[in-house]
Amino acid sequence: MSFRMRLPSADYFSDLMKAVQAVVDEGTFKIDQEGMKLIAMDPAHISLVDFELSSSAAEEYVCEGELQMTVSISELMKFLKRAKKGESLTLSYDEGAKKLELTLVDATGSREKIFTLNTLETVEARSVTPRLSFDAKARVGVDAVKDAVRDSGVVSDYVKITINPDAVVFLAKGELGTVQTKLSKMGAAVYEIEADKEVWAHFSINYLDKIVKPASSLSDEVVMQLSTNKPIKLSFPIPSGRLEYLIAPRIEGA
Amino acid sequence: MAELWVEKYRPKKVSEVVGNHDSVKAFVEWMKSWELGKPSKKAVLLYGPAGVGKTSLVLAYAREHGYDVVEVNASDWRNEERMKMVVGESSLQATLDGTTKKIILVDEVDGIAGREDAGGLSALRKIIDNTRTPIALVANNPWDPRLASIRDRCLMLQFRRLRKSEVIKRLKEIALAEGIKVTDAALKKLAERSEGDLRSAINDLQAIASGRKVVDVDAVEALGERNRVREIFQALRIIFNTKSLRAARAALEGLEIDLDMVYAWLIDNVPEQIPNPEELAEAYEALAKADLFLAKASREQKWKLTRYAIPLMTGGVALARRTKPHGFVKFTFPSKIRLMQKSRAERELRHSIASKIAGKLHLSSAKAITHMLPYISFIMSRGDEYAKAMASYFEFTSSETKYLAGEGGEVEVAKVAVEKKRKRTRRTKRR
Repeated sequence: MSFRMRLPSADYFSDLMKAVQAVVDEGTFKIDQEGMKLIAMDPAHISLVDFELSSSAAEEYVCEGELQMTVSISELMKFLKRAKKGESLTLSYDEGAKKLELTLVDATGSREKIFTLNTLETVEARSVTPRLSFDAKARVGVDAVKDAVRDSGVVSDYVKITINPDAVVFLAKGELGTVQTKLSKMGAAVYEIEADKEVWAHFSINYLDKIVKPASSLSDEVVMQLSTNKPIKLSFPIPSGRLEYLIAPRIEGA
Repeated sequence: MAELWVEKYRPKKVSEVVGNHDSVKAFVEWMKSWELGKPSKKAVLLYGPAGVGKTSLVLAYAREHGYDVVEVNASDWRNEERMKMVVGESSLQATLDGTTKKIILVDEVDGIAGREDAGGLSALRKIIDNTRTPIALVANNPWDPRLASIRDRCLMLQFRRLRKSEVIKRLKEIALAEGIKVTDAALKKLAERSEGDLRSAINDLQAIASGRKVVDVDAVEALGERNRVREIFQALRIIFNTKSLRAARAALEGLEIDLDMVYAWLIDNVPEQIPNPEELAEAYEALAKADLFLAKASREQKWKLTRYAIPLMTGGVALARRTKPHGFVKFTFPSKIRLMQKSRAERELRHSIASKIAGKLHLSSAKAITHMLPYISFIMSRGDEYAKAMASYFEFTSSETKYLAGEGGEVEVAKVAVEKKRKRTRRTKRR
């Protein structure tokens, strides 16, 4: 079984893979008529990425049946880094040969570069996202979140994220002092808040930063969904696809 | 490729774990104590030979009680950074399902060493101190000196080789499920071969069962001998007989004994194996240099230095020996280890006494032994009310009191020494 997809921009695909790489180094894509999907957890089981690129994103999309493709994302990135601006990307994968072929063609069609990547043995892993319900939701500008996370990192490894009906608050406490960022509902950075009560949880800045940074080049806004002391869901709206993350909260008390 | 039976028939519930009932029970109780929020120790160290169900127990418990297992295997990088990133972070976070039901499983802890895993163990030690999630460590050899500080922080659960009857019973169940007929004699043979290692027994059964419906003794015997771990004697034979540095260095490969132990074997056997004094001096010189590296490696936790120690202690000795003794000289068991084994009970007793004294008097236990033990021992030996008050103050157990009071202990030794001296002085006087 094989699959072929031509994307207008190699850069865009490269950015998507960077966003996936924030969670996993090795991933199994499930590919069918609708598109390519990947759900994966990091080795520490703290974060999860739910990625989908639908066939509508492609200029050409051919897929017979359903297949799985496991690749080392960091190896794939090495190839994608060779892409120049304006180059288109064609991915083709043959399940029998276990090879992924990347073809980069420049805008004028005068140069064609072909990279072949050996794929890996598929290991069965988690393929469904946990079912969670959230008490609060906020749609926020991604740069504001990125800055808030970075600022918190000055004093601590953890940040307490609070969503209340009026604002989204990032609070970090450390030996050095505290850092607080308040994004008010009235402000320009907050597009929407849906919350009846205040909810909060603590998250690792390391994980937040790893995820928000690459995703910020793909989307201008992020939808944060949260319940008290429960995992946070970060959804980055992308055209013809899905990019969502879950991050587990820190265990309180003990 | 067909599914491995060891995976297919891995226990799915704790009750399906074969053998080692006491340790299994203790593990379940320890997990219960975590659920109640008051664990006695934050980590557990499951130790024992391969294939007896250490990892299986953890996985079975997780599966039965709906725990998420974060696994760190020997195939992963386990240096300080990775350890902190995966185990450290995971030990403080809840699961993605929003619960806290998580177990961290670090397999082959005794394999965390060498330059690839620099700092891994000390990072693990700190993680255990701060963890909010149960951590299960698995090791074949927990007595490696590098694991000392980890051991103190763990509930130690020993797993023994499984009984032949236990192995046979499990093999029978698997054969039945797979629809294979295995003769009783073949089962017995498989169990014997496995030496209590159920995993290897199941692997053997799968290997010979492929393509046949009936397994008999002949089929088992066709498997040949299992390639077991190389023994220290083999390694010594290579070191003392080879003339090449490469071969000597390779002698330690596949040896599941720590370097200090190998060193003890070498230093005790060198004089018998190398008759020529000049060559012996050369060999000792090499060993002395190796010792410097080993000492520095263990003192400063710089295990990468062992790569200088190994060629010196193996190759150095091998190349020093140019003449052979006549006939076969057998290897002797290192006296240091024999002595340590003999005095182990006493050392443990002394250690426990010292830590009690240290705790009450705010001393280090080393100081407690050198500065306090002789005096306390002297007072205790009188057996009067002061001795009793002393014992109750330090909360000594009866065996500790007895040891301090001098039954075979400190005072006895001192007495003998004094006696000897007296005799000697008398003798000189007579002259």
